[in-house]
Amino acid sequence: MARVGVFICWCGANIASTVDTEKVTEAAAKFPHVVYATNYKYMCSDPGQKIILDAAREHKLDGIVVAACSPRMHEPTFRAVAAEAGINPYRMQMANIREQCSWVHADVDEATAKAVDAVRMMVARVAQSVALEPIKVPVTKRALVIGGGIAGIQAALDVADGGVETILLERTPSIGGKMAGLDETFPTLDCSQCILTPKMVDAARSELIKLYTYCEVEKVDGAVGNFKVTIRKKAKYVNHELCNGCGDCWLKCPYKKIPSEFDFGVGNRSAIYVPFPQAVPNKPVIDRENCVFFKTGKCRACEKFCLRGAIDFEQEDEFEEVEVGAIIVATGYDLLDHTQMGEFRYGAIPDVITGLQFERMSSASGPTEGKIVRPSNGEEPKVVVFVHCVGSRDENYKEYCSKICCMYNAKHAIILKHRIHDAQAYLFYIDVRAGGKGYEEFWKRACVEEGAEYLRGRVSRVYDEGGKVIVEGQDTLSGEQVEVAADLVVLATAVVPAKGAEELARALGISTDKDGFFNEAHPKLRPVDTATGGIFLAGCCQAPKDIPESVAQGSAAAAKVLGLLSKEVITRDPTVAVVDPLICTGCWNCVNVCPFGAPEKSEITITIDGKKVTRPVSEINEAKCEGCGLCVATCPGNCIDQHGFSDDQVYAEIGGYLDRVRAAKNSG
Amino acid sequence: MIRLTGTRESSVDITRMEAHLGHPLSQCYQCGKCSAGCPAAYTMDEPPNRVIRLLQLGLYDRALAQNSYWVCSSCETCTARCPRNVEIKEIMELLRHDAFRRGVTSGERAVVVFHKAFLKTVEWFGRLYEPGLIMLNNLLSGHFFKDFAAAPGMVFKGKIKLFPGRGADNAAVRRIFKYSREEAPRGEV
Amino acid sequence: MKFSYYPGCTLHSTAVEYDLSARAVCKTLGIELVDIPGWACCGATSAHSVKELVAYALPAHTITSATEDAVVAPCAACYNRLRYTDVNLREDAHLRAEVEEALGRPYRAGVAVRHLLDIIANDVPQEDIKANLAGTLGGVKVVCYYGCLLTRPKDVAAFDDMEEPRTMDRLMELCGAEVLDWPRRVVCCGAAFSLSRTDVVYHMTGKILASALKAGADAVVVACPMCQSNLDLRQPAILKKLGLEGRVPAVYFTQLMGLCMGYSVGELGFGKIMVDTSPLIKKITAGRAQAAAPAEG
Repeated sequence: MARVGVFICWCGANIASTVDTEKVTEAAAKFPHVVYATNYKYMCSDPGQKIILDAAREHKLDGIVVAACSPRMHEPTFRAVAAEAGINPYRMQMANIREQCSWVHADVDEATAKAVDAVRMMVARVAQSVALEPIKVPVTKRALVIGGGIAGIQAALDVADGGVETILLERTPSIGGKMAGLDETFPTLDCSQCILTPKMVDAARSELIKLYTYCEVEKVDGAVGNFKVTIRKKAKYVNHELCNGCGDCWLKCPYKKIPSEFDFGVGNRSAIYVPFPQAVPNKPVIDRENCVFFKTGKCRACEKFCLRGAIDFEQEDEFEEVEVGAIIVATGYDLLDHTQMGEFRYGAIPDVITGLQFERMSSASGPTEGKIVRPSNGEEPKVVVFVHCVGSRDENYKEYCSKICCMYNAKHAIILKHRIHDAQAYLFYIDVRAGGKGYEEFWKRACVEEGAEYLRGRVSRVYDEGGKVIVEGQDTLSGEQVEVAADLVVLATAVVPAKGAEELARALGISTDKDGFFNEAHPKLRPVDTATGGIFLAGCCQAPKDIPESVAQGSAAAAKVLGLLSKEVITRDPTVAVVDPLICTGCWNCVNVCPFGAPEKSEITITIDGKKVTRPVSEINEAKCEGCGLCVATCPGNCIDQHGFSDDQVYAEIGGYLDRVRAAKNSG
Repeated sequence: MIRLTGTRESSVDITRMEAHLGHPLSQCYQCGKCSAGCPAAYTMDEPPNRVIRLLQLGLYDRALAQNSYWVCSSCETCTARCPRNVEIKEIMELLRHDAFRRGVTSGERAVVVFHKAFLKTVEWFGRLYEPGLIMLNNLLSGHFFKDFAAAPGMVFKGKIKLFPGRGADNAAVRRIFKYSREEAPRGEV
Repeated sequence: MKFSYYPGCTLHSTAVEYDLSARAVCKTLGIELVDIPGWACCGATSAHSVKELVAYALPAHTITSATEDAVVAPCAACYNRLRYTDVNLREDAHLRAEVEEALGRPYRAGVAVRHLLDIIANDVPQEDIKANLAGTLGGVKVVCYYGCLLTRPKDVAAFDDMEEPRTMDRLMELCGAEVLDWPRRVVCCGAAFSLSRTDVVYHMTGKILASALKAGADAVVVACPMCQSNLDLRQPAILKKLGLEGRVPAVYFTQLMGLCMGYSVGELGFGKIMVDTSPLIKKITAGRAQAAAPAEG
C-alpha cells in the first residue's frame, strides 16, 4: 500500500472559481493509498511547496499527486520538491485540473466531478509508479558546424571563444557562403567582403576551429552529447599540405569556360580553381566533371606547372568519423529558380537576371570588375527594372515573404545610381518591408535621394522585343498600367532552403516545415533549438533572414552549444522505452517506426532445454530514445514498455476512472 | 467617404457573389498583377483590381456602374497569373450576368445590344446567322451601315451565307431559351 | 481514329476555309470525322457573357447529340465552351440538374472534348504526319498565334503551356517553315468585340500584327476562327491606323499542312482569306524550288 499525499491548487481563481477545491480534497482523502489531502491557493509558490515538504515528512509520504495546472507548466517544479522531500521525482504526478478542467468548463458541479476523477486517476497511477533515475550520458566536448556561411562562421568563432573545439564543415571549396559574393550590404553599404574576410581569416587561424572545406556530411549516428558523424572529404586532387596558393595552376588551366557557381553563372572559372580571390583556404580544387584530364586523359597542365608538386590525380574521396557533442546546422539558402516561370519566358531572356547575379556584377572583384552590364551585349543599361516578390507571396510558388528582398532591391537601386549616374531604376513592389534598424531610413534614401522610382503593383509579364525587355506592370495607386522598355530586369526571387536540405534533415533526424526550412523547436521562444537534442540551427536554413539576424542566431546557437557542453554529463529524462527481450520476436516494426533511430537490431542468446539459442531482438538505445511512445504503441507483441508511462501505470489510471463509473452504476 | 459600421453595404449582392466563388473576396491582396496584364484595362473605367477593391469595400452598385466587365474579353489572363488564385474572370462574369439581368449598361450600350442581337439570332436559327446578326445589331444600335463595306467582299468569297443554314435542332434550342426565360433557375430572369 | 466533328457556326460561314482544310488534313491523316446531328451554337461570345444557363445548356445539347465517345472542335471558342460545360456539369450537380431540365433529357457525361490542334499534334504519330508531307513550306517565316481560349484556363482547356505553348510551332517546323520566336503567342485579340467595340479589336489585334511584322513574319498561323477574323478582316484598317506598311495574312494551320500534303490552294480555301495570300504562296513555291535546286553542280 502506497502512502500518497494529494495537494490541490486553487491557482488563485483560475481553478477555484470553477472547481470546488474543498469538495475535491474531501473526496481525495477517501481514495485508496491516500493518507493526506489538502488544498492551497498557489501550490507552486514557496509557501505552497513548503506545505508539500512538511506533509511529506509528517505523513511519511512515498508518492505525491499535485492537482493543478498542466505538467508543461510546473512538472519540473514539483519534481524538484519531491526530490527535496526525499521522494523519487517519478513518484510525483500532476493531475491537470486547470487547462483540461476549470478553463474549459463552466458548470461548477460538472467541473468539480471531473477534477475528482482526475485526482482519483492520478492517485491510482502514482501507486504504480516506479522510482526512476535520470540517464547520465557522457559529453564529447567538441562541436560540429555544418555550413561555412556567415551564420556558421559566427557560430564557430563563438564556440571556439568558449574554449570548445569546433569543426567547421563547408561543401564548397571555400567558407564565406552567399555573403562572400555580395557587393555592398544594407543599410550601411559596407563592402561585404571587407567585413566578412576578417571573420573568415579568424576562423582559419583559430587553434580551436578545424576547417573542413569541400566536405559533406555522409552519415550521422548517436544522440545529444555523443554524435558520431561520418564526413566525406571530397577528393580535391590537390594536396593542400604542399600547395601554397600561388595560382600558377589556374592561370595555366586551358579550360576556363566553366560557369562559376560562385558567380551564379555570370562569370566563368577554370577546372582547377579557387571560387573567388579571397577564398579561405586559398588553395584550389579540381572540378572532376569538367577537367580535361579526367574526361580525356590529356592535359595535366596544372601538374606540369606546379612548382610544389601538389597536384595529385590519384586522390579519392576519404571518409572520416568524428565524435561531437553538439551540431549546429547553418546551411543557408538558395534562390528559387526563375527559369520555371512562364511570365519571364522560362529564363530565355538573357537580360533578365536574379538579385544575386546583379550582386556579382556590381562586385568590384567580380566577373565584370564591378561594371553593371547587359548580359546580351555587354553594354551599360540605362533603364533597369527591379521586380519584387518573384515567386514569393505567391500561392503558385512560395506563399511566404522572403524578407530580405525589399531591402536589397532598394540597395540595388542605390548601387545602380552610384555606378551609372544617368541610369534610372524602376521598382515594382506590393509592400515595402523595412523593419530592421535603419532600414526605413535606407529605403527613404533610395526614393528621395537616389532617384529610385517605386511603382506599387506587380509585374504581369516580361518579354523581349526590339532589343529591349518590355515589362508590363501596374501602378495600383494611380490605377494605371505601366510599361517599361528596360535594358535590364532584375528579379528578386524567393529565398528557399539550400539544395540538399531535405536529405541532411533526414540524416540528422530533424524535421523540415512545409517549405523545406528546418523546424525550430518553438517559433517564438526557441528559434535556434530543434526538437532533437543537441542539434541547433542558425541562419537562413531556418527561415529567410538578413545578415544581422544570421549573426545573432550564430551566436545564440553557439551559446546553446557551450551551455550543453559545459556539463560533464548530460542527464536525460529516464522516461524511455524498454524492450522485453524474452518476448521480442525481432519483427523490427519498432526500428522502422522510430523517428530517432533508437531501437537497434540486436540479438540475445538464451538456453532452451539445455540448448543455446540465439534470437534477433530489438534493443532501445537509451541515449537516443526521446520517449515519444511510438514503438510502445506499434509493437504487435506488446513487448515494449515505457518508463514513467508503463502499462501498469496507464491501466491503473484508466482503472481509477472505470472503478468510479462502475460504482456509480451499481449504486443507482 | 466610406463610413464603416461593422456590416457591409449591399451585403446581399456580395454574399451571393461570394457563394459562387471558391474563396472570399478578401483573398485578393490588391497586388495589381491582373490589371497589369489585362489587355482591356486601357479602356476600363476601373481596372480589374480596383473593381475587386470596390466589392471588398461592399460598394456593389458602384462596381456595377463601371464599364469594366462589359469590355472584359474573358481572356482569363488575370486568373491564370493571379498569385492568390482569385477568380477574377468569374467575378467579372458574375457582375456582367447581374448587369444584364438588371439592364445596367454602364455606358457600353453597343456591347449589350450586340449580345442581345447575337442571342436572338441563335434562338431563332439555332446557329449564328451573320447577316441576321449584323442587321439586328445595326438596327438596335442605331449604326445602320456599320461594316456594310465589308459585306460584298465576304459574300463573294462565300464567307457570309445570305440565308441561314439548316441543320440545327431548332426545337431543342428554343426549348433551352424558353426554359431560361420562364423557369428563372439560378436567379436568371 | 474516329471523332464526332463539331465545326461550330463560323466554320460554315466566315471560317469556311478552316472547315475545308481541316477535313482535308484529317482525311489524309486517317482521322474519321462524323458530323454531329442537329448541333447548335456552342454559346461562345454572348451566351456565356450574359446568360449562364443558356451558356451551359447549348453546348450540353451538342455534346449529348454526339454519336462518338470523343468530340473534336476546330474552333478554339467552341472547344473552350464545350470543355467548360463538361467540367462544370460533372462537378456541379445542381447546375447539371437544371441543364437537364432545360434540355429535356439527361446530359451525356464521359464524352472527351478535344481541339483539332491537340489531336493532330499529340494523337497522330509524328512519322505518320511526315510520311504524308509531299512538299514543305519552303522555309517561309511564320509566327504561331494561339490566343486565349486554347491556352487558358489550365484545368479546363490548356493542353500546352499557358505562357509559352509550342504545339503549333512544332507542327509548322515539321512542315518545313521557319518558325520565328515572338512575344504575342497568347495575348488576346479582342475576340467578340469585332462588331460592338471595334476600337478594342483595333487596339488588341493591332499589337499582335505589329509584333508579327516586327518579327519579320510572312504569315500568322492560327487555330481559332475568331482570332483569324480579327487578324484578317480588320488588318488593312488596323495597319493603316498604326501607320505600318506591309501585310501578314492570317492562315489556319490546317491550310499550311494541307499545302504540304499536296492539296491545292483552291481546295484549301486560300482565296477566301481577305488579305491577299498570293505573295505567301509565291514565297512557299520559291522556297521549295530553292531547296530542290542545289542538287545540281
